[in-house]
Amino acid sequence: MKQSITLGQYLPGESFLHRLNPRFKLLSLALVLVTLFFVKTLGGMGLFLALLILFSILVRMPYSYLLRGLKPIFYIVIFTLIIYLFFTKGGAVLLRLGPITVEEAGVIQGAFVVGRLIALVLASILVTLTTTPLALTHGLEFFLTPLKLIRVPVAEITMIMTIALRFIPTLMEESRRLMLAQMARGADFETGNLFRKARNLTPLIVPLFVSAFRRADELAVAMEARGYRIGARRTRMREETVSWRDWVALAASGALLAAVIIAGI
Amino acid sequence: MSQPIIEVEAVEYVYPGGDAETPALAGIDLTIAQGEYLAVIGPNGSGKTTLLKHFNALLIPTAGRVLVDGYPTAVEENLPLIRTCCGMIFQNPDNQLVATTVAEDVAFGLENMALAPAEIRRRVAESLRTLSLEHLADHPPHLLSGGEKQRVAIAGILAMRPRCLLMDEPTAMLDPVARVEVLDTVRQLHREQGITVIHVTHFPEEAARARRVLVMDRGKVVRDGPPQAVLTDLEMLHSLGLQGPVAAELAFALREDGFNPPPGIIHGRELVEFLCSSGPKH
Amino acid sequence: MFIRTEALTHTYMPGTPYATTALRGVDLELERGSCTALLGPSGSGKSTLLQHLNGLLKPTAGRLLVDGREVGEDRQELLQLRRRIGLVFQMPEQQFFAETVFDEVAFGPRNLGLDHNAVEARVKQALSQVGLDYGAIKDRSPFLFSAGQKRLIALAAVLALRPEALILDEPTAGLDPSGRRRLIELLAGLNREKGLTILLATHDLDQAALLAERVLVLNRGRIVMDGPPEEIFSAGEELRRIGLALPAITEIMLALKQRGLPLDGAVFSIPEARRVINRWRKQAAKL
Repeated sequence: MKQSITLGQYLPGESFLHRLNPRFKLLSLALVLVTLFFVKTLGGMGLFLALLILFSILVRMPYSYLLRGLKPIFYIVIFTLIIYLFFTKGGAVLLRLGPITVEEAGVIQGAFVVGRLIALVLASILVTLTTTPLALTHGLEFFLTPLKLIRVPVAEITMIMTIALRFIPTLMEESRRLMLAQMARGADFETGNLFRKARNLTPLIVPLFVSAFRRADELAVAMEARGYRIGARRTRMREETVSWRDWVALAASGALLAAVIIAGI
Repeated sequence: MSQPIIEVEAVEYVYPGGDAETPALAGIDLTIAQGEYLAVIGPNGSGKTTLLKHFNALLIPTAGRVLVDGYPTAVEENLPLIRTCCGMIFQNPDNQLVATTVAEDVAFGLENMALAPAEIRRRVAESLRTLSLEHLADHPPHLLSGGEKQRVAIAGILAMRPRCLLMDEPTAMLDPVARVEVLDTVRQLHREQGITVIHVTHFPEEAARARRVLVMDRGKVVRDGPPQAVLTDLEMLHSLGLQGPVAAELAFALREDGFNPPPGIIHGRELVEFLCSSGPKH
Repeated sequence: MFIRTEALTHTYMPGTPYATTALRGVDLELERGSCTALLGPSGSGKSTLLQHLNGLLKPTAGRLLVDGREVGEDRQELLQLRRRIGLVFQMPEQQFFAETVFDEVAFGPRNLGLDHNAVEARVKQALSQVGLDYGAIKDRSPFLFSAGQKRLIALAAVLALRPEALILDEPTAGLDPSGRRRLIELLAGLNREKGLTILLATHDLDQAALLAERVLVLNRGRIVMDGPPEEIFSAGEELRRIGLALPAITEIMLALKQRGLPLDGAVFSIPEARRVINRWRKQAAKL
């Protein structure tokens, strides 16, 4: 039985964000993230978050996916909040528990930093939810292109990233299977000290490597058979067309940055 | 006989580091015409796969030469032409898919041919349609069944408009239903588009689908002929540790019991027809 | 009853959008010393079911009983169970990791905490059980054998645990016809002579027919047929609908039956087919 292991969080769809050119999308994201660091006040951060949420609703991102994307930072958020609440001093004392106090500055700064953290992750999730890993790779390739001048093999690096994206789920499934198979032979991956545990991994790692090398070998032959040659000129099926949407997105992000800087909020 | 698509002239091949006394290919002469359906059978290590890999220049002969569509495979500049002309399907469906979606994978070979993006999209769509895979276009390969993966691999080759399809035990890792699915697809391409098929297999039933069967042993072609002749020569097949199609084996056994089936029975329906028409009467 | 499952259900990745239910209430009983084939198309849940029978996977619902005792969560008990019920995975040679055949086969016995002499005795016995020459191969790399021999070494690695039952997932996948025959004969021998309980999952009806005295058919996580091979295989149309292909010889004989050959059940081998056809001829000659 195959398990559906998916990489990234791509959610198929046809929204405004889905249809953006990945290069413009990444560039706009960069502008939005820069803007985030120009926001100085709690009110500004609140406004920023509100805009982001409004935008997610406009492009019809299911909130359950957004929440799930925020889940990994839940503990970081709590931790940050506690640090600020109890250790940043200044302003009126809002709460006193024996020697510990919570003061106004702590609340404001805590809320501000947490707001920034959530906005940061939310904006990134909006991009990863609406962009296939492959398109992301191609978008990144574009920004790496200048490196070609210093003889960095950008096209080959992108190919490696694509292949990695393709095979990570396969190898994950394989390691799960291998683990079960060695357990069936009495292997124990759970008990023992660290040293023993590390040594116990040999029966997993060796076959995983053997298989990865065999796959790499067969894949190289198959790629060669399909006419792939390192350094040869290739084209792309996906044409990165630029539409009005892309310019709108870029202009809007730029305007946002300018507005925040000018307003000084 | 139409135009030859593959010509093999006195080919010998020794793997790097291999023993020159026992070459993987020990002198092979062969001509394959455009539009043929050829099966290659033989025991393990007889050189079937090695021979197949010569047909798209994955291997270059140690001695002798291979011409694909008239172009020698040993000439580096011919590679793009040869690889477009002869596409290859491998045994492990997992390790020949490169991209993260089916459509992107089908496009891979076309991207290597440096075609224009619009042309690539057109051919990908056409190829997916021919193999009835449109509904899977955006699926990641690891979520496909073995049979689907193998058909995606075929779609990827087909999009390159090859004239010849090389298959190295393409069904060995599939279940029986997927096996038939893949083979029927190939037969359809052969019939409707006139694609030359060269199929290495160890299933006698699959070899019976071909119109010409080659038997290899220890780097040599030991038999070459229509399946009705080659696959019913059970003495020869058994001596190599191979078996004939079940229908041929049963027909042979019944001959000892006084039945007199016509020669060349390789399909079950032929045997059934004979037994019912000549009947149990004798 | 040796091995028994009650309403076994298994869902992968429950509670996520990718949740898939592989088994839906499987009731299964395996007697000690029996030889059973589990048939099912790809994705029917065969591998998932096998991985429950030695406690590798925990059922989402339902339970597993071995010798009447319910298998629970106790770790020691689970380790013990995995020793008693040997599970041979699909393409088991892909698990090889050791430098020598000896170390590969000794992996299981060493995990049991046996001393060197006991380990050696088990490795010797296991390799001889699969028909390999201990002295000749023990120091060679397990990676450098032919596909068929690798499969035998992998089988020995499980036999070295001295299991009471052997559960195999597609044991002949990827082998050539002679490798297949050798393995089937070996398994038949282990069952007959050593009394080893065998359950093998396969989509290859030929080998199941040759080996098993009982056939189970799994489809979409449910057992849909259960009976002796002659009975199961005479239901040709139903098997085809599920997505299982009949052995070529069985197909020929079923086609003849439709054209008037008197035949009960199904035929799986050429000698048997020959007998049936000759009997048919004699009967007709008398008329």
